[in-house]
Amino acid sequence: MLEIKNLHARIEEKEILKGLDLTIPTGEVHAIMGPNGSGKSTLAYVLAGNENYEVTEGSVKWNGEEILDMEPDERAATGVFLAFQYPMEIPGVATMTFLRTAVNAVRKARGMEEYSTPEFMKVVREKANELQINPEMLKRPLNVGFSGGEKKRNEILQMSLLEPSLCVLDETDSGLDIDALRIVAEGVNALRSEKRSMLVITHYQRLLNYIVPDRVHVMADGKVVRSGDADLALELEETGYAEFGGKAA
Amino acid sequence: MDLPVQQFRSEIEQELLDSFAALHDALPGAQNDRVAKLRSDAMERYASLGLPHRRIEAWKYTDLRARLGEAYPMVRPSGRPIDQAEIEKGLGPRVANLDSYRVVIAEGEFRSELSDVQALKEAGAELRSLAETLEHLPDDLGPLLAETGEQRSGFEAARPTGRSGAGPDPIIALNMALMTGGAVLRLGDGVSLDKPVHVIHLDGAGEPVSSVTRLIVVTGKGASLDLIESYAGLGGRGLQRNALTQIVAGADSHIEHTKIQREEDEAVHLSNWLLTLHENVRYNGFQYTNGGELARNDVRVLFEGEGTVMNFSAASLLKSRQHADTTMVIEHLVPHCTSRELYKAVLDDESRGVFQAKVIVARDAQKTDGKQMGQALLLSEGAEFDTKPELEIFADDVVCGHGATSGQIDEDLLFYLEARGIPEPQARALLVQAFVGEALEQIDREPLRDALTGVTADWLGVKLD
Amino acid sequence: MPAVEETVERVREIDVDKYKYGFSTDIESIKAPKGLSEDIVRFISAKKGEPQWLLDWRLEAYRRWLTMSEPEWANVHYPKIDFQELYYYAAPKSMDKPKSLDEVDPELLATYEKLGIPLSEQKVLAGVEGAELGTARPGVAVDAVFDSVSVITTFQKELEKAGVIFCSISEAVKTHPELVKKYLGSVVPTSDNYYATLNSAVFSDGSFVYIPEGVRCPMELSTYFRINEKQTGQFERTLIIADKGAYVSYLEGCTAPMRDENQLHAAVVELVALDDAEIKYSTVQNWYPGNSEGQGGVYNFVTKRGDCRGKNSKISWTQVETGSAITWKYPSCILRGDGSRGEFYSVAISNGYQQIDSGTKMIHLGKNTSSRIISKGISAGHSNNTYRGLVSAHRKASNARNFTACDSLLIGDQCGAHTVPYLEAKNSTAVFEHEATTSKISDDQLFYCMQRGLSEEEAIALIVNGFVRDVLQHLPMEFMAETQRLIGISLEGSVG
Repeated sequence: MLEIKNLHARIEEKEILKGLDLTIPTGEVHAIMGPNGSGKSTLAYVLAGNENYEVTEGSVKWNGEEILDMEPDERAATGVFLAFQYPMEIPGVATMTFLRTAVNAVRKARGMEEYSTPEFMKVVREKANELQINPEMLKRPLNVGFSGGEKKRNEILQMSLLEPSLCVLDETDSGLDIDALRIVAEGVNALRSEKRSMLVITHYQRLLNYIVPDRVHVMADGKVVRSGDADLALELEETGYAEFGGKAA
Repeated sequence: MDLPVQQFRSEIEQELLDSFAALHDALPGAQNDRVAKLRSDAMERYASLGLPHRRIEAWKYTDLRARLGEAYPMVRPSGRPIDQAEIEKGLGPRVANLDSYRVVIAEGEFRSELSDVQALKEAGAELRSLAETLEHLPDDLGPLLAETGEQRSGFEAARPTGRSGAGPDPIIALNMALMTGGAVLRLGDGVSLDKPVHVIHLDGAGEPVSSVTRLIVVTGKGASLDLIESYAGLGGRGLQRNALTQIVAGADSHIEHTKIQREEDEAVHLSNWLLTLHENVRYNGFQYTNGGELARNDVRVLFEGEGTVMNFSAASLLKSRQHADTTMVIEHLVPHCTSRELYKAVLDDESRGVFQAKVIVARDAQKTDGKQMGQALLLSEGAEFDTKPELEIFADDVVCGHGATSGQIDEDLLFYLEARGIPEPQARALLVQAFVGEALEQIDREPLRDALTGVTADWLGVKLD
Repeated sequence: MPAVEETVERVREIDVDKYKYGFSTDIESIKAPKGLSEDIVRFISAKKGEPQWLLDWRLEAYRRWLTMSEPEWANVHYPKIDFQELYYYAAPKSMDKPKSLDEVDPELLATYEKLGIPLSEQKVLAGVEGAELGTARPGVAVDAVFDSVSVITTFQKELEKAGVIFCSISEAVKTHPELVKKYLGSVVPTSDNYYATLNSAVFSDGSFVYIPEGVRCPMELSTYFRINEKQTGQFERTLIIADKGAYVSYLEGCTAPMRDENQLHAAVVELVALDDAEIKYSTVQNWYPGNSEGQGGVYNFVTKRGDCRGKNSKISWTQVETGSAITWKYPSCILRGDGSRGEFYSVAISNGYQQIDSGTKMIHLGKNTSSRIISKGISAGHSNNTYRGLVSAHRKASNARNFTACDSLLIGDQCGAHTVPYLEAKNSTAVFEHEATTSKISDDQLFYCMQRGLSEEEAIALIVNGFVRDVLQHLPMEFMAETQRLIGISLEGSVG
């Protein structure tokens, strides 16, 4: 279970999260929607431990354990996974090398046995296949020259390989055409389980047609201002974010 | 200071010392103790250093000692009238007729009757003769006159006495010791002039002479200045010029600064720009080198205030046996500054272009953004281009880079133009213009840019449509 | 090389002791008396039973050296070296020309074993067969140099069948004097520079390679240098000649024990490529870099130069520099033959108080010559890392081409990264392109990797390995994995 209490965070001098509360029970999928600048992506970065954001108040507990003091890699080992809105490019590092390094680092930290190379290749090929990822892509440097769809599928591939217990998806639908969106959403849905919680951050309702959330929260000015079931997303689609201080979507 | 002592002195090096000994009582400011001391200190520095030669790293490609045959006598101001026709002849009508406040420094002397002193005063700027200023030296100019050109940071600063040329500069020392005239321009806080200030340097009408002048510019907070320096000969038989420009750009000021060098074939042009930029300055500099037998343009930039952006470009168009060397030292001493340098050389016949630019990012100068590019187009077999872009970086959070290229006119492009019906010579000229044009585009003010585009076309022998 | 059984996975094993080659071997040795004089030069020459011409050659170099002064232009700082405080010759006492491996002192064999250089040919072959990376490769022939002498050269018989001469240079002086006399000093003349001249006077041993016309050397050749003795300078001399149409790939590795005082290594390497010949020379330089306070470490003042003497010849330098307290080295190519090509691929990593001033010279003399320079510098800790390179096209070098890319990476705010290229185009048809960048590892990349579970050091090692990949791919397979691991080790402690 994820429990966020009174979370305040700022970047440089600007306060962005202003007392956010949010609870996601284990096994549930929650969506966070909100106008641009409401602090959605900041929440994602703070959960993953990005040092550019300074947490000034509040707590974030994952399965009862405070994670705010942990390094990003420690959080990853604990099971926190962030699918980035803009995945980073790392020239010269083959995607396969990166995946194996990450997976074995996490497995080692979790006290699991590291994969041997052949084992790993087998696992990756299967999962890549499910996400319709061309094996050739895995030989290319990480995210370098990837299309928007390839980058996002690569994120979901990493999510599936790292077997996280808390998945945070930051605007995973941005920059995807409808076919790519469907593939990505199917990949995410395949990972839904009663042991795994998910936080889906999105500006548009569109994604939530494919990944149907248990709860929807509206974020504005650094706080959760309204919560409801999946229908809330449809309502927002109609009315826009105007009443929450944002421009009409 | 621990300076290397020169063991051997060439004839010309000795001549320069002799001329100081003969002249120093008559030089402007001789009665002012501080100025007299600054001059004799400078001469001592020069005496220990001698003229730069190729074993000095910063002068590797320009062996001044070997190239200067003899020291010409210092120019004696005649005070004779100089009319518009003469200025046009020297600078060419395109440059001479730029709409501007005019400042004339002729035969090493500030000519108030030819300069717009009053008009500048009305516009909020104070223009004074350097010679007069030296008689009653204001306190704030003392440190400026004491500048030696020494590098403040980087590897060589730790060993200024070595052969790097990063220590005191002998040409700056000679300028301090021997300068006869020039101008001091001050802009108060917030002053913005409605047109450029054009400082015209004219020298050498008869016998070979040396001319040593200095231009000092101090801008106040938020001031805005468009400064053009032009250098021409008056048809004399030889000229050795040592011209130094010092600019202290106050916080938030905006400076457009251009130098146009069009001296006669035998001229030796030694130029130093010493730029000190305070915070949030916008500085845009340009040097157009087109004349003389030998030109050495030293540009030293000190970033002393955060948030400053400096952009420097240069175009050297050389033919016959001309030799032009642009050497820059850019020191980022403070964080959050940006520097850009773009150098273009077009080298015909047996000319030689040199571009050296060292960007130093000191330990504290985080978030520096520094980029430079030096490019040469060699039009003939005998031409030569030497370049040494250099980065010395001691801060980690920076983005710095440089590039350099040397090559000929792109034959594919040439063919393309010819296939479109443009005759070969014209097509070549067009491509050269396009090459130089990338630098000229950096000039912000349109009339000046157009004038230099025209000068380039003249040089190439083509008509602009 | 030891990397045979390495795989990329070992990149991650960076919790190894910083310098794992720092042990010393306890072995009795014969030394020349301390200091340098004509008598010492004569002593070395006599020890090696050299002919008069070579002694004269050495003495001439020595006399010239006395008139020279140490170069000061590089971006490196160190106290003046007292050349009288060094030993110029040290050889294991047991070293009396072993004819075969059985005669080599077991202590020495153990040393090389520990360094990961099996000298037993059976073991090398076994190692290859057992290699994880699969593809069948020929073995690697090794010339093992211990202090001033060559201990053993493996696979000589196999190489002989192909006509390849691979032996120590002392041996070559005896067995192939005509070749040595013809080529020694023909690329790096005795008067070349301070350290090269010193080397010419006192060089002790090194490797000699001759590949006859039309022969493609059947296996990788390598020399492994080890400085063991205290206060001993190592002055090896390597000479490689590829005759017309020949090909050879040569690897060089080096380590030294951890000692508090600085050790001097001033080698000279000369390469000669005749018409259509190709020499590929790779170095993994891992001399002891000194401790974390900057004490000790090797002064690596090396002159390496290749002469593309023949038409369409090619010389390629690949270097990975991670060791030494001070590195001063510029492997160069003289592109004399028309159509010849020079390449320089370099990774230089400095950490702690290391100082590197390294780069290359590409001298274009012939027509249609081309060169390519890829340099990657990584500075961490309190180190300074300078790329210095010269590309020049002489009057007659029409259509010379050069492409240079120098990238520097800074890790931490106490180090420096510097780039000093010289480009001299004296021919209008020459086309030179140079680009350089300096940056740091982006925080965003680091965060991304750490979000995926990598520790900060692992993330840096991974990103750096990506940064240097363009260069590493030019290394022979045997070196590549070893090098990737080495990069991780070299950067240890660079964070925080």
